[in-house]
Amino acid sequence: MNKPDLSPEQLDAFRQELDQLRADTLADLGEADARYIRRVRAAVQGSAIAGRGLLMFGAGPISWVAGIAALAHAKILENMELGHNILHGQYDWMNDPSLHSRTYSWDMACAPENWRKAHNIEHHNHTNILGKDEDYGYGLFRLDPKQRWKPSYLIQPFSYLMLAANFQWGIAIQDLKLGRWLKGRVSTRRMRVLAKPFLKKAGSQVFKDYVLFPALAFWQFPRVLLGNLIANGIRNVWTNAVIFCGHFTADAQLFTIRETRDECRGAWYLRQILGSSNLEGGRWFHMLTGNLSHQIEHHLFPDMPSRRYAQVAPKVREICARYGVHYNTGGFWKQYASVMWRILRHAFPSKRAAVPAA
Amino acid sequence: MSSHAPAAFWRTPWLKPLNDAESWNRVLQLVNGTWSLTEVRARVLSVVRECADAVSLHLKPNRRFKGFVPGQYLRLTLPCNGVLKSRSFSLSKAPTRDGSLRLTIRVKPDGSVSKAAEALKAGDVVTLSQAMGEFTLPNPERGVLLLSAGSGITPMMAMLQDWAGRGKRPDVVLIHSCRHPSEWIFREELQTLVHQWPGLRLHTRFTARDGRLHSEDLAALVPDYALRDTLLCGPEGFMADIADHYRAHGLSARLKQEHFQAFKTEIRPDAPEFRVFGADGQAAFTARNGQSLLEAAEQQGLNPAHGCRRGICMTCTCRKLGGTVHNQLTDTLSGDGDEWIQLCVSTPVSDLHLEMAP
Repeated sequence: MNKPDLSPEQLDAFRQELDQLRADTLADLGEADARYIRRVRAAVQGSAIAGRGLLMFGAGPISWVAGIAALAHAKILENMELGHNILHGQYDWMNDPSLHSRTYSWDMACAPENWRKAHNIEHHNHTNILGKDEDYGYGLFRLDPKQRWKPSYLIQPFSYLMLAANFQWGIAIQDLKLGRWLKGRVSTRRMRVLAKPFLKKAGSQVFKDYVLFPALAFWQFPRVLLGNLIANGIRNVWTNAVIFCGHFTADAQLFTIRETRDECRGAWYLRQILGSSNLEGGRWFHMLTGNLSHQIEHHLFPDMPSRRYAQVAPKVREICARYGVHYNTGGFWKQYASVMWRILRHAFPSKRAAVPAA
Repeated sequence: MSSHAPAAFWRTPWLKPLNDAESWNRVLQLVNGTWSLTEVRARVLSVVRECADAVSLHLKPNRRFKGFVPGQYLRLTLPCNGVLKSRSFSLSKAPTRDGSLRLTIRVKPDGSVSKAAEALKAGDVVTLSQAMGEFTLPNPERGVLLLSAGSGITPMMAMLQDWAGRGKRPDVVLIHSCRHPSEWIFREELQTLVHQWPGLRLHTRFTARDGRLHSEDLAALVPDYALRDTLLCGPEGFMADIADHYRAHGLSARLKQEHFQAFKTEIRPDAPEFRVFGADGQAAFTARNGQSLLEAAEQQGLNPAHGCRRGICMTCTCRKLGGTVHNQLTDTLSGDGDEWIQLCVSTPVSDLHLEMAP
């Protein structure tokens, strides 16, 4: 897939159309959007109470499995449709402190302040720019021939499985950039200060899932502890699969710093589209991905309430078609398989010369 | 708050979400909308039209409500097309045995809150603050003069009802202005009260016909006005005229005032425009001198957290890192350094650095 050759005038017209779409949609926000997010929250709460209740007070394997399923469902929906989207500020307009990006905290190990910086600021601005977007390969994976091959990439299929199972921890420490500390570029004292929000948030999550709730179940504590561990694991694997499908599918492009220097707003939009990929599925599937199945729309309009992505997607697609911009979409298994293939393939060196990162 | 050891233990963040009142409130509200451990929530009993452009909400608050003194106001928070908005309203009925409250609201054609309040139905739930304000006269020691205009009658009504229920009723003169007989709030209630209470004298003035009540008219209507405790509530222009008169005659100690309009100032056409930078050093928005920072930010598509919009509730308080603002409520200039300011009543006098929500 190549970049479409758009003149500066075309790029600007392209930008205007997308800006207009954004403005029209945001102007229409109201009651229905507010009701939706509150309902999602009620569903998360109901599911979490049911799940934790079944794990703590249930007996026998069926209630245990049902409890795990309900808790995993609650965590997935909370992390994806509530947490991620609220922390993007998608619901700040509601002026409700319990749904505001500044005050919300989610049910996972990453501290919201770290997330807002690593994700909202760095990843969303520098999407798929080699050397700038830390989310591209997370410093662990080589997914494109433009990345210089190192022997350490040979183990990446294995490290991928490790990351998938522990994804919340990967996300939680991403903003700390521990590599700097390991290489001695940041002092241990400084690192301790930087790690404070993470330690606090991660500590309280571990305490909640592996000490407090198991202890409340008295003699049933192994059942609760193991159930929580599995529910967290299911959430990790699912969110990882969805998120890896967002930018690492076969046709998702990688950009260099040089290519994106002095990028205008139109080119920024273009990069967001070319660097992202969508997943097709039903209403429940979209909800469980936090509407990140509409990754392209999310990257164009990260602060638009996610339930609107399905509505703007056909229009984005139509605009893309008119400008000859490839709109990368497909079913989950097809897209995920292409991600797996890239992880396998690029573990090994390529013939094409690597482009220097800076 | 007590500070003994068990209470302190109960509040540790490690026990989240079990000790998080907000979480419990949301669970309780799934069962019953008015249940809350911390918030005053009230069920709408009825919405009654008082006159052409005013409605009364009859509300039954939950047990978190600590009661009020006639003349006090509270903040009503309700969703307006999905956005939570708050406005302050005087309680317009003396405390009753059944604990029900009445708020009387002038419906403005462009007032989103008053329109949303008008559209409430019996059974809906709204959020209230505790009662606030010093505009009270629980035990009049001498004659009383009440000067009200428009919806300024609302706190007066609660006080009149309260005094009417006493054994020894004070001697009261009420001068009420409204534009037109059709806009006279509590007309029948007042007439009934006058009928039953010989010590209450009522003068009404229809400004469309008789013109506005001026301070010079006071002596003719109430020769002994200088000897009476005076309570004043109405539109700003009306209040300013009377307050100036009292000040000029050394009667300020006798006068109590209640301002109820959302804070609004005029922006002169030649007012200079200043830039407001976020904590990251990037220009966030611009505001003109005379315009509140909150209003300016909203006009430019930002969503700072806010509440009353009149400098009371401190919801919009944010950290100013540098620059000078004028506080329009207290008419004072800030320092030029690091301090807390309220966005809704602050207008810039220089370029500013603010720490706002990311």
